[in-house]
Amino acid sequence: MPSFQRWLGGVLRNRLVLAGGCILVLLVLSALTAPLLVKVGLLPSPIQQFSTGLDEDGMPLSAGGKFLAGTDNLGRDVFSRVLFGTRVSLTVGVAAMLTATLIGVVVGVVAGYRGGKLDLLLMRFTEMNMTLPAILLAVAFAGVMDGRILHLHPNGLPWHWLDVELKRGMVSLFLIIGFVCWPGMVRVIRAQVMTFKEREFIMASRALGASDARLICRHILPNILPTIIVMAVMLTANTILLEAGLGYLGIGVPPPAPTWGSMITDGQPYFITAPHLVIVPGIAIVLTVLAFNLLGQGLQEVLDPKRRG
Amino acid sequence: MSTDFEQKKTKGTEFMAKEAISTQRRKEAKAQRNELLPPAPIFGAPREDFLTLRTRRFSQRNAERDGFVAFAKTFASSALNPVLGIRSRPRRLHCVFALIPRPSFPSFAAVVILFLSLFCRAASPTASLPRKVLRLARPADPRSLDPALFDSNQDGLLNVLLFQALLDITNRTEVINNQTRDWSVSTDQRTYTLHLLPGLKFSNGCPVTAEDHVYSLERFFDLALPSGKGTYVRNIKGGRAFSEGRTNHVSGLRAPTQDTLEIELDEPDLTFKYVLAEDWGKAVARETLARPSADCGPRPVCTGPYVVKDWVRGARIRFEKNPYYFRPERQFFDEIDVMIGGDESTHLMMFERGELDIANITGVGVPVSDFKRLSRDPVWKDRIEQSPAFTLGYLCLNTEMPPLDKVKVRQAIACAVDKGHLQRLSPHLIDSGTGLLNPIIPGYDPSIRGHAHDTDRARQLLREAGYPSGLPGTLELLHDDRQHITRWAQALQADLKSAGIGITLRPVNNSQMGSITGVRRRVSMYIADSNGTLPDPKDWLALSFHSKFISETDSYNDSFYSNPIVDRLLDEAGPCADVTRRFELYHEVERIVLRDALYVPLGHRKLFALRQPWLKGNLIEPIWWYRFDRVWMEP
Repeated sequence: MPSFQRWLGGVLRNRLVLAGGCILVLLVLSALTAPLLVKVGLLPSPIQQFSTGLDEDGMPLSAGGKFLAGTDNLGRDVFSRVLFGTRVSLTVGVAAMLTATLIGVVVGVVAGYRGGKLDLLLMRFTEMNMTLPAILLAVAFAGVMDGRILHLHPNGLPWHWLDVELKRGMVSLFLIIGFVCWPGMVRVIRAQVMTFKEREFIMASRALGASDARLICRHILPNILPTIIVMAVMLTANTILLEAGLGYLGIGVPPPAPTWGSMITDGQPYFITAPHLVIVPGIAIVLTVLAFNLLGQGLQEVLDPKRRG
Repeated sequence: MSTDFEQKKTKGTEFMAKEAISTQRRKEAKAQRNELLPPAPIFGAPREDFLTLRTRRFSQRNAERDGFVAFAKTFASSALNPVLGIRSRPRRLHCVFALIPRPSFPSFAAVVILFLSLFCRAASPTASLPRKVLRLARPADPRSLDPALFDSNQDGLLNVLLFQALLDITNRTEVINNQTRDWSVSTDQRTYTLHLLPGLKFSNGCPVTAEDHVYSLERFFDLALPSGKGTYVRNIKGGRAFSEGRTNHVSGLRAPTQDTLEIELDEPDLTFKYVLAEDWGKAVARETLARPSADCGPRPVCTGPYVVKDWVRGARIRFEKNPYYFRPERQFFDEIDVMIGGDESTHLMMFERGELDIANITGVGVPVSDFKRLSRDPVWKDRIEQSPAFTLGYLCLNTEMPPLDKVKVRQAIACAVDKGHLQRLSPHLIDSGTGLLNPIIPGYDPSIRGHAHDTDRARQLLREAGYPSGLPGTLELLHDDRQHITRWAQALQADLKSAGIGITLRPVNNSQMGSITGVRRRVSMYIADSNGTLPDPKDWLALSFHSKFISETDSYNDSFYSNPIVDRLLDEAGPCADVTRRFELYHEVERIVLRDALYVPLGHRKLFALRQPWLKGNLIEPIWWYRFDRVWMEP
């Protein structure tokens, strides 16, 4: 416990962690409280189209007055949509990060620990994935998954409650992004595992009769955990960017659900006449990505003994 | 120690003396070189001087070097060495200047004149008549250039450049001669006789005959031709028998002489004259087609003012003058260059930079997002032209797709749509739509209105239809990707959601819409913004709601509605010679259709054109949209 407290103290003393963390807490709080604010009437609904939200020429209103960040091309409140967009971006971003981390760690550990032909096979497969642009792969996945039903039960058993319909939405989106983002993590994890498995304490445990599973779970994984944490945090910034990119291309969460990417797409034709339609969600994306990058870099400084030294 | 010191002192003195001598020698050598360098460039220096200087210079260089090779080598090394990181001696760079030949004045003047001539085409005799190139842009390639196959909504503008019809429509409804010298219709309104203009030729120089028109019209009855346009001419006598293969000629189409075309109809049709002014009155060169169902191809032989010069798919189509066009005085452009690609906003940016002559020829004319800015911009506000158009924006509900097969569900949707909000989205571009007919169509009745916006009534209708808590699941709403249609779709989604009807939007490319919506049981509902083909209520009502126009893959009746009462009314209205009675029948049909909520009218789009100041003439009009044969360029 004292060591954890010392570690936590070190983390909290890091300026990068503090800055990133503060922004992130702010974003999470706004995402959590947005529906409550709508309920109590402090925030308009993100899909409500106000008759007063357009000027006499049918153009969006700029920031000020009743609408804090102006209105969009249908007379909806931009601030409310950005806040609700935070929910989508953070949820999809974090869920996709967890998916990618899970795949990346499993593949990296297996490849690094087993070595040999399996390592060769897994790493070539990983490299093959890395050669394809992430956004292109995600678009292809989206096309394949749209409308499919994923059966999570054995064939022949009528457990249809386990079926997941992969229609356009958050679930299919985070799965797509997760499947696209894992290769970057594999190489680092594999390298770490290969280093640790040759260390004396691992050899000693093996000599004492520890199984492979025990060696991985009790000795290797705890030692590479700081690396996984740092990489996962950095990866979240990428998954959020990818989510915004897919939303921009029109294959993200379907409208009228507000997402930052789709808000930029909708606002693009109005960039000259109503630039706030692009700038406000753009700022939200920048802030979120910046927060995760600062946090990741700060954690790297704290957790990496070489850098700390 | 002192000896050592003295020895070192002596060595130092000697070293300094040597250095002083070598420095002196270097200075002398430099001075000698400087003396040999030519003076600053003087134009018109005597040829002898130049040669003398060059000879003297070369005499100091390596004898094996030829002058030009030396210059090239030196120049190359001086240019490449910094790039490659090689440090060259300063004197080598010096030599570069030394080796540059000093031009005489005549040669220098010749070079200057040659250079300036590149930019001064206007001064040449040919440049005094600059080529008049009309520059346009559209987002995608046309589906086809064949008059029987092209998409009327999307590609009509390009097709009128290539093909011209027998008749023309002016002043919205007045039919006049175009490629005919006269035309007449029998008193029973069943037989049309047209006499072609003498000397009409295709773009390959072959004469256009009445037989060509017979052949072109017969193509519409060929079931192998993937054209949905046969509906408009199915009234021609013998057409059905020809389609079914019972005859090899449509008996109602005759060419008694080279320039006389006779068309006999099964039943009277007051609107057939409009048909002959549209795609069905355009002749294709039968010699160029392997079979009637074949496409005319990317460079069709045609009768219009222009021919395709080249077509690079996905990049551009260029048209040039048809040398055999019968009205050369109306070929105002030497070339028409149509760029393929980009969207409305991109085209507008290109227009504002002066790269296009007309801002937008496929959308509204002026993008919704920029209308306010442009209409107040002192540069552009006077260059926006406006016209009403034969258009109808509507939400089509497929009566064969559950739950839209229930009339109360359709009525609930019609009640949930807030047309006032749609109007507010683009107040300058759209006239609010209350009925199906456009206000400029003959027979328009402003008293006929669809369901008024009432969300509570929509919920009530859903309850009566057996959906007390709203429709389960979501319905798919197909729409094209144009700006104003996308806005409509998003607005409708919110309207319907408030009434308990979930909608999933499915945007598709505008050119794909026609091929999807006519397929049976394919699309639940879609938004369309179509332009009428004929300036008559028949075009909107008979073709869209008569059950005989339902087909499996290319249905004109796209709500797949079948009502014997409506069929009877339309059958009676079609041949009715009494105009008042005819319009009454159509009004009755319109009321039934609006009551049953097959179409939910959303608005009537106006037509705009934003053009460069050098483009003169009347560009837009309701029926044809753009008339390129009535505009010209002036500096």
